[in-house]
Amino acid sequence: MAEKEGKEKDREKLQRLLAEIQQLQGQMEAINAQLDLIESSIEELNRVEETLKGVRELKGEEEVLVPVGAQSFVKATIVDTDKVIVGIGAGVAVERTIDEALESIDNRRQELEKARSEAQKRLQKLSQELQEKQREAQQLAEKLGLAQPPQQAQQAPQTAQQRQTGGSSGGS
Amino acid sequence: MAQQQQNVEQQVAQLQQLQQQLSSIVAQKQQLEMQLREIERALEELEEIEEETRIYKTVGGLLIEADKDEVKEELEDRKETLELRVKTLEKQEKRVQEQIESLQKRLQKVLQQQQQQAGGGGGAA
Repeated sequence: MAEKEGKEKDREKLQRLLAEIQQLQGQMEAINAQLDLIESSIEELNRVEETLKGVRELKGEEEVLVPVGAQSFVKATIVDTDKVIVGIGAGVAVERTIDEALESIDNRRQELEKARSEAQKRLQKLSQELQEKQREAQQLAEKLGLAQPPQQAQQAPQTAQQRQTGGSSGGS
Repeated sequence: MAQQQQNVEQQVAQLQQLQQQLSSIVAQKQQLEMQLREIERALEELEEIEEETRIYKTVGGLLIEADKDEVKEELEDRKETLELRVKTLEKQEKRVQEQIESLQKRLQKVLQQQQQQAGGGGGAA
């Protein structure tokens, strides 16, 4: 009797563990998506930085090709090689000197890099937790008779069925 | 008994519908809150800008020069509207949440009764 009750407890624990594992995996997926986003933002900042540094070096007479999408370019000259217009969100943009813009790009990149390393740390922690839970679940599953000597293995599926059909009402 | 079962199924369906409604309200609210934060950040940024700095506003794909005070006013207006909409959504969220809770309670009671009736036959070890 006592052994049976213990088994039931183990089964419940296993079920809880499996739910926790699933939740952890979901969290990790979300963090990974976040990391992708951070990564592409950093890349974009790097690209703009390079462009602005290039523009800063121009005299303003040179012909440049401005991308208008779909690998198409129009010829232009840059009338002001000191200034750049930067969006601040909400459909508003302000004029800045290129030096100012580069500084704020640098700040934003540092913020993003910080966020990236924090997300990576969280991911690592969750992955450790996941491994521990998976190992624990594995052990419990073995203990519950999935890989046990034959006499007990015969009994185990029966208890499993009982729990799924009548078990939830019988428990209370 | 069969009628009771049908009733339960109906309530479960209703519960699912409410939960869907709730998550759509929450999603809408989050989106508006994001817009709100964006506007607040833009306003902060505008505060720090020197007087003679040129300001532009997006019109479709173009940027057109605009007056700083006008832009500020416009942003404040949008902020107010958004705050109002967020508040409305918060009220809705609360109401649906309450509906869900009371429905869950009712369902739990019915299910417990059913289990007790069924448990007399099957659950005894």
